[in-house]
Amino acid sequence: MSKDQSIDKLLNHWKDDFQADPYLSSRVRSEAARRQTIEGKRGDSVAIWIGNAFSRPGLAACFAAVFMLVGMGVSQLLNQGVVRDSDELTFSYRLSIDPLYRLQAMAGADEFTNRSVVPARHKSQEAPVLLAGLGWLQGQLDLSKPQYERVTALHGDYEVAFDELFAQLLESHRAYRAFDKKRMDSDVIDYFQLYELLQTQKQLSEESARLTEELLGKVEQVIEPSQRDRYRELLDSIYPSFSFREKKTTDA
Amino acid sequence: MRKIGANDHELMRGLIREDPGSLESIIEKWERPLYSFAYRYTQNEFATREIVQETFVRVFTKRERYNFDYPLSSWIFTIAANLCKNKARWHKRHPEVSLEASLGNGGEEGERSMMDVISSEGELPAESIEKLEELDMLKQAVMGLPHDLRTAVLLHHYEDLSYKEIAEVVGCSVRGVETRLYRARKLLRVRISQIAEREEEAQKKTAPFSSEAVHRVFSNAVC
Repeated sequence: MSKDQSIDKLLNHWKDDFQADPYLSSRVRSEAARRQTIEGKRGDSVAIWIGNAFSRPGLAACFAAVFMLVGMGVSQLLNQGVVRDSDELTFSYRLSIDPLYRLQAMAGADEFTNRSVVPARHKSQEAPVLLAGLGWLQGQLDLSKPQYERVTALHGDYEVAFDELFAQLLESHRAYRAFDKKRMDSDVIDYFQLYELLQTQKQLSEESARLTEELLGKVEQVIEPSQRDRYRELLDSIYPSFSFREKKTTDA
Repeated sequence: MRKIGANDHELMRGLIREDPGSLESIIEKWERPLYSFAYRYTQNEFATREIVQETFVRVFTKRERYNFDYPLSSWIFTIAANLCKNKARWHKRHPEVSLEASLGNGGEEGERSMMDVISSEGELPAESIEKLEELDMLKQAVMGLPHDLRTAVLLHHYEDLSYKEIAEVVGCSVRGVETRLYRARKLLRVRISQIAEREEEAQKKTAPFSSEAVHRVFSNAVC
């Protein structure tokens, strides 16, 4: 006997105890009728509800107003979410490219007033992540891969310079605070020291502004004219008084 | 063997026209094959009754959509096979112990059932037990088959469906049905021998314990 035959023989031994169900057809009919009724009722009830609503103009107007308000509310909420996300990323990017702004946001320095710095709306205890800022910029300007690589390289060139400048600014800020405390305690002002401190601050803040503008100017040269308007729009939101000037660039 | 073809189409036309008795005629002809298929697929009487009824409800409610290019057997078994598959999936997620299923230890699927014992009356006890054991193994092996292999083998062996009809139910080519039947038989053989080996090992483990227990009980009784 072949292997298949032995399986077939075994299958033949498997009997079932079928007994016809005398009530099957009546159960099938009643179940089918029940389902048709439910479907009909479901369709009817929706139609009746809509019909009732629209047969009374006042009620229909109320419904329309409610739907409109709900829609507006939802769109407002969604919009706020988008704006909030965008705001946070703008903040993160700006921290990466602006040492003076970083000092203001991280150390609360408000004595560097010789440059129109828009006050930081956020406070940060952590150093910025350049990559997050670049991701945001890439999304905003829809940079191509080569553009993104060039923009990343440019930011990379300036990253160390920005960090060093931030460290100097922080040091200057601490020295100024110490001087201020000493002045308050002793009620004596060392004008020579104050002059030196203010000069350092001026020099550092000018250097910070110059480097930031230099980088932004270089980035603008990388992007296409079609992306430039959006870029300027973004910069306007960050630096309202910022204007692109042909500047002599330095090696960052 | 069932008569297929023109008669089925006539019955369906009657059902669509809502001829009196048309549903009853279809049920009369297809209840047994459907029961036979669903019972062997699910191995559960209650589930089988449900599937058979639901199949006829769907045939009745969707009669307008029937495609006369295909035999009724393909349509009716496609509905039943899908219901069986859904039911099996549901049972997998909601395991339960069938009252009917087991007289053996633990109530596992494929254990010896009361129905089998009753139907084997009249045979010699040793032959009957051996046959029951083989049948249990076959049932376990069938339950272990994937849906399309199980459907193909059951429709081919018990319902006499042609390869073409089975292909329409399973959703493959005629050649695909041949492959599935070959694979199903092969899997059944492998699984049956695996189950047999497992049961043999289990018997070896339990036998000394049982005799020891009997001996202890017996000696207690003597004392």
